[in-house]
Amino acid sequence: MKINNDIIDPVEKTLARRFREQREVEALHAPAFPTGQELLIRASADAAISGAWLNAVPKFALAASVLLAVFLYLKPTVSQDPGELYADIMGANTVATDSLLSLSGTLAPQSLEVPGLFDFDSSFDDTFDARQ
Amino acid sequence: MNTFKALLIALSFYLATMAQAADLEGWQGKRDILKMGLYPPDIIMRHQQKLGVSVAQRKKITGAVKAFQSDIAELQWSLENEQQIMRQTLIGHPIASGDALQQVERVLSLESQFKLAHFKLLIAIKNELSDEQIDLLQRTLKRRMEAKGLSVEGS
Repeated sequence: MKINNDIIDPVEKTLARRFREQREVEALHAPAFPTGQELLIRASADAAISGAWLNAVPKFALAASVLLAVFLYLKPTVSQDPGELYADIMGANTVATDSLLSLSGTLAPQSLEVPGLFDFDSSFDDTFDARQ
Repeated sequence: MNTFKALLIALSFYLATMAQAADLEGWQGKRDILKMGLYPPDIIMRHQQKLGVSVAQRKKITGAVKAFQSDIAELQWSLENEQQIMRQTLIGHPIASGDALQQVERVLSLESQFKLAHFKLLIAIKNELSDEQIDLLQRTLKRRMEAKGLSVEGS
């Protein structure tokens, strides 16, 4: 490559010459371009490899599915607390007609709720033990 | 940033209030159940140590709850659907009373089946408890209700 003599700036001329020399050195060490024959061989080898992998992917997927199914089937089930299960069931269901017919608090003040009424605490009668 | 914090605090209060309202609504049903001398499994399980619930009892109670779940599994879908239809029927004006009452009857029938299954569960659970456990539950409940100044009925 020739130096562009239109470059007037001496610094740019120097840089251009240095880049040219560097490219010539790199060109000496660069590998040769593959020939058409080599490219064909390489492509067929890649196809063989990718083909094998592509054929294997569905088999891996099937094996993974079977393993997951077996794992889920054989996984020991954690028994849910019956109280929680009951709370879940009752929370998911509403008896619409009951709420339609209930009295408002102004008509029946005693129907108002007392928070914490059913929270059993340590004020049990300790003289009696149900486990005895 | 201050506006954002204020909104966040307001949202937290709102969510807490809604949660408490939903919780209080549940307690109405529990009080009625307890006044009838029946004991919901969540209350029993919550205090199973104090009541001395054995492993066998827990297993039987779990089985009863699962049987209840399977009894109402299909019923739940139908009930929700029919309740929705009933609401839509009653919202309109004027209401076609013949159709509306038929729909109400369908809903009542399904709700009755649900309540029957619920009673079956509560009766099975009570039958699993010993006399001492029931006595402990009743005495504690009576004490709590008297402390709150409420009448004691059916306990």
